Amino acid sequence: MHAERLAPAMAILPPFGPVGYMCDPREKPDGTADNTLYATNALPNHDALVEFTIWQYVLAPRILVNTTEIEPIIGNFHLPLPSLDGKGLRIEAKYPGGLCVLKKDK
Amino acid sequence: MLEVVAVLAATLFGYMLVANLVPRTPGIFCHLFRISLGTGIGMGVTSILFFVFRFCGLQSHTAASVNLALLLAASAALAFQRKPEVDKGYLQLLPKEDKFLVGFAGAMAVLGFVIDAVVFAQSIWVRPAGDFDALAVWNLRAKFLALLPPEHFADAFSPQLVYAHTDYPLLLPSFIANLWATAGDLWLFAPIMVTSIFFLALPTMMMSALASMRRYFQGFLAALVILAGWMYVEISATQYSDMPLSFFVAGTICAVYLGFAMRSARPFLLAGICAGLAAWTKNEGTPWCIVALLTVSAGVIYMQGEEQRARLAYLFAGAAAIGAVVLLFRFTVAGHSDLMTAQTSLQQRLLDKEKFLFLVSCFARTIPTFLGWTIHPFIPLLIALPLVGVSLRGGAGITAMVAAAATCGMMIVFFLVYMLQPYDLRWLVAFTIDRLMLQIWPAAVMAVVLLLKPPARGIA
Repeated sequence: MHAERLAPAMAILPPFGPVGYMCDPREKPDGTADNTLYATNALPNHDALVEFTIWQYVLAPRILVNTTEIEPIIGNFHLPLPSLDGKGLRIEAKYPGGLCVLKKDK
Repeated sequence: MLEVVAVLAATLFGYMLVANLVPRTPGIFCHLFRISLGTGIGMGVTSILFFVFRFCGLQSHTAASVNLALLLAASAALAFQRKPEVDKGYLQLLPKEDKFLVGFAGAMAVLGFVIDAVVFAQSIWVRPAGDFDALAVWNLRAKFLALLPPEHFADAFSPQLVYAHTDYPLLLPSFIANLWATAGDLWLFAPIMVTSIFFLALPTMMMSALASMRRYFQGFLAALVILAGWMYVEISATQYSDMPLSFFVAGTICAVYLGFAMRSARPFLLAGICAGLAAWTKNEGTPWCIVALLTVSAGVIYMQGEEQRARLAYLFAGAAAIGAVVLLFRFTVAGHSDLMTAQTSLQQRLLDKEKFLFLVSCFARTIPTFLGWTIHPFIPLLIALPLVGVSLRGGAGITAMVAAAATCGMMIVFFLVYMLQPYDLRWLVAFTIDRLMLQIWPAAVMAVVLLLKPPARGIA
């Protein structure tokens, strides 16, 4: 299932080396998005960890790193795509099911 | 299906190696022992060679092809060597066992194999990719080893792989990568085949090691005790490295038993190789290798005899041959272990009284129940010991002492590691203690089963 979902994006990712990763933001208790997640190496919850691990397996031998400091970045969103304003990122390619590939704004 | 060819080549090599080192005894159990131990050793050696070839810069399919050619050539060379024979006069001195009891135990062991095989097949059907760590650690690392080109080989050990435990040794990943590289695809059949082989080979090896020395009853009993814990099947189906490690722990003790029982030095080479391969399988295998070398050496020195030096030389040569590659891995590519990374000092962690008492209660609760027992099999066995009697003859006594000492040594190591590790102890113990106990369980089973006096003809 994950392999099929990721297949179109894999064509534009480098075959080896590190690839950035971005997922749904962790929500603060007041319901607002906690974007500080992106600045850390921590995943928001156990389900996100499981999904990250499965993606790492599917994308290997690329190295999936939970950071936006490395590009290209693969985005995995179950919620509507968060605003990228002020993050210095742009969407390079968008696929069904909340999958996208992002790059840094030059 | 080229994966099967690679497994058969590994088995053939292992079979020939065991045949050249363990004197031949009459009957089918001698061959069963060669196949079961040989398959494990063959897979271990294949894994070592594949890693070394990849480390030296070979492409994965080239490494797999060279591996296959080398294994076949080595098997052919070993086939032409003169095989040692056991002293038949000595075999005739062994007691004749009661046929009814042996037949009954044999039938129960066969039933155990059939039931476990069905349950195991069901578990694999439900979760063909194994449990979480099979994908997150073992098969992921196999994928890196199989797919990375030589110039990116270091990526397989990148510190950026935060959940892949790049410090874990590579027996399983490297062997599975070898199978994938041979076949040219990443079919899940390869890890399923490997885990199935270890699942069946462990009880078969213990049974055939004892039965080939005409201790049929004890052999069937050992297989039954291993197969009877329902978690044996569960843990095997996870596709983690605990079962292969358990196999090499058992292999060490079986080879030591045959060495003592047959009054031969050569099986000690197999014991050393098994101890080394344990260190190549999992981090817990390194203390096993050290503890096994110490306890077996003590046993050899205690037994004295003219073959003492040869036994020690074979034992350490086997362990050194594999250990050299483990050290190469540790000092060149392996990631750092997170065991010692913590805010508090080692001394503080070691002297934590609350942690100590919690662990004592955990060990006390887990030891009688860890494989899902309702009644622990040691209870009837220990009751039976004084009734049936104890036999220390034919290498059984000294091997039982070595196995018991090694088991106790490993329990102390596990306790200390739990004390020193930096994680939440309740979480860690809940997820690991059953698997740790399973790793050394075959050594404990051998220790108790070997002490039982074989039921002599006419007693039943």
